Amino acid sequence: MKFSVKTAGWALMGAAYLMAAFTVARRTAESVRTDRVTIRFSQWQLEGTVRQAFDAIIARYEQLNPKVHVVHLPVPDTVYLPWIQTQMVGGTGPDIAEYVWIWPDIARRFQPLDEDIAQPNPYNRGTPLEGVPWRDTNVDGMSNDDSYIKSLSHYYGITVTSHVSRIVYNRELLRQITGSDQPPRTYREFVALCAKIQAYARVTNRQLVPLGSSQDTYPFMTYAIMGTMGTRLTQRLDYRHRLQIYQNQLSAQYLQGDWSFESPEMTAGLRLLADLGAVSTPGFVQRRRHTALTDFVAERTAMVVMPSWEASSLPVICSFAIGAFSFPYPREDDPVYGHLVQGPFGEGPRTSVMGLYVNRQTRHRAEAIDFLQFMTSVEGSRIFTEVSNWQPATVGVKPSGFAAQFSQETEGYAWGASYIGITIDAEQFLRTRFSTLWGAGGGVAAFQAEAKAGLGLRIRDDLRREGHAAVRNVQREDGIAVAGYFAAAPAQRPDRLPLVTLSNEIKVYQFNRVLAAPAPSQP
Amino acid sequence: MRMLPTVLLGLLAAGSLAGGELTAGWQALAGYRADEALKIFAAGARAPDPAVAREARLGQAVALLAKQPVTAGQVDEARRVCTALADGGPDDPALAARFLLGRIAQHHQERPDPAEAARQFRRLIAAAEASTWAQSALSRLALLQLYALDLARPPAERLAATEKLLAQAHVPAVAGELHVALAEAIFFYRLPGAQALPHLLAAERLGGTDRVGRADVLVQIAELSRLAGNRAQAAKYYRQFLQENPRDSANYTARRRLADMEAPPAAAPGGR
Repeated sequence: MKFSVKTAGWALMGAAYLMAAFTVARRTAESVRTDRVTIRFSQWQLEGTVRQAFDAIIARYEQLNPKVHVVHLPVPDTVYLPWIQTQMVGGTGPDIAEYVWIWPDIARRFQPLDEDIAQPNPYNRGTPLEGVPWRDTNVDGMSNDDSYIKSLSHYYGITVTSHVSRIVYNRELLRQITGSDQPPRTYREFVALCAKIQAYARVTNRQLVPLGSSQDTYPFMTYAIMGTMGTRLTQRLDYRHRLQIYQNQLSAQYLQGDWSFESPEMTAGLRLLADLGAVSTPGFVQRRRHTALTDFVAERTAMVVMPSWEASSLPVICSFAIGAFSFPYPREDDPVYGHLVQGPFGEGPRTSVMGLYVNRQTRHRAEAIDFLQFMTSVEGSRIFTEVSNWQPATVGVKPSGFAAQFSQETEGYAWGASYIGITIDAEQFLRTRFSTLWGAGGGVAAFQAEAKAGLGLRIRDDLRREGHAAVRNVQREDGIAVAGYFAAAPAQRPDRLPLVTLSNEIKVYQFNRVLAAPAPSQP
Repeated sequence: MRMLPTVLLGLLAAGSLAGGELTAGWQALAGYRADEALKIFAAGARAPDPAVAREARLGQAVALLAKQPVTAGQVDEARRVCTALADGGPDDPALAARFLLGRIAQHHQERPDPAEAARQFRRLIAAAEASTWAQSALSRLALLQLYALDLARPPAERLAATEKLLAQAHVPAVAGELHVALAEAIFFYRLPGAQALPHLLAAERLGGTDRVGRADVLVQIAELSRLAGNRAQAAKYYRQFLQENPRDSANYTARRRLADMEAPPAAAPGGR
């Protein structure tokens, strides 16, 4: 029998087709099982071993619940938002999705969990959290922005972790330079340490800078420093007597002339930042986070500003022992700044993040809730921290050994005002002007002049936009409230409509009044 | 479940829809499915029972305010439907329509008309003060009076005028909400904080705030009591706040202040 080349080609193509068809058919057959429910869960945290942590939680959950299969969809953060929005709009969204409270359409795409979180988490049976409402098993009582959506007055997101930033340091290098691997305890000790590192670099002719930083990480220090330096100012600005200040309130008060970057506390904060810039990697405002990380790993910096979610990768890539400490903010006994501050400084209560939301259209609500309950139970949370090295968000669960260095400081004043991370455009504006503080020929006065010239305009735009968003919220909830009234049986109709909360509607009017008033002279 | 609207539309076409079936339209609206709701209500508006038809027309108006993208034409049409309903009888749809006319002028039309919104709310309150609709309108009318009307008058006068609305609040939560609105206005206009204290105490007693709003009220009472030198009352509310909000960001400060309030007066540091 004789085969032509053409026949052999057709035969090869046919074999390839059959093999592909078999593979596809086999995979389909594998994924479709009628004896169990499949739920899908998407998230974008691809750092370190976080994916493995979720996989470990899923494996244990499926062992306990063989009739539920959880598909984990890790999606890179660079494409996550357009991806999830497309999925949700197209009706193919996962049953559980990581989402952020500030992203659009939460009310349309996800469902409130108010009744679920008021019930105990069944997976906490036999633990100290047995019988405790699910909400109160979370370290912040689900009062964080992702869980309790203030504009909607409902609980939506279940949060699983928390984060802080720290200064991570090279223990061995520190010992080599100072004779001790203990981190500085006061601001003056920090200043002295930086001077020693600089002197060591000069004497040894080594390319070494005290502090590694980048455009991605400097805000963590900047916001906290301005916030702590502004504690006394913030107390004066708290005209609502709430012992905390919302960022949009701070922005409105800027327009009302209650504070400026020339206020004594802000001037002091800017001076401190200028000093910090002088011991940081040159050009850090333009550099990305991976360059700061590379410098630290290559021992070109002795310390590096590091958020806890990235730090979890360090034990894997550093060839030396590392430690971590909170920036030692100046306290009342500091000879220069002491008269302006009031400590101790806290980082607020532990505020959890990484909100997981339940799809409004899911056909497997019960299974989705059940999986979230396991994930945030004592057992699930323990698996999470041990494998990921991230902070747990469940009360009483101890962070893993490494994560413990990044535990939030809760004992101290926490007013919630950063003065930089105010409203959206205003924050971006201030960040672009930091080059005038740290750049050649710049300084505190140059930054203050820039802020004075342009900040008010940005805040006005922000408040106008926030006001419009609040009105859209009111509009949407009006219809829902009226519909809810008529959908209820006559005997069960409410004696007042569940409109958008009054505090949200007040915002519309107060912003309008602030925007309508003539600009006062800044203090 | 997706078949339900189709079945209902069929029933509507056959003229056999009873009022209860409009519930599906309201449920669609509550589920952010305004298009679906509009179809159900449009069919219901042709129902032979006048009560069903009126409720359906109200549903149409609400759906028009929700159907994306909301156009000026839709808002105008919703206003027209609501005006006809509000002027057409004393039933629930009429009161709801009057309420919506106020809300349309307040927030839905392109250029808000606070005077018209207040006029509609006042008419509603005068006509059926105890109704859900009038009670819901009270706090919204208060906002108009506090921040958008008679701006030439000093804030203290506007506050005094708004306090009179309290007499018309029959639902405790509505009265509580009004007290919060008044306290917030006192703070916003930087009037003496002590004036807000009675309002906050009343709001705490009457309710009407959600969990977050209640936390605000408890701290504010504690702080204003401390500043007024009422140590026992301040301590009581710091304690209450801490008990109800074990994880609030103000906890550390509240605990410190509580300790000051519980210490013998001579040992306590001065307040700010």
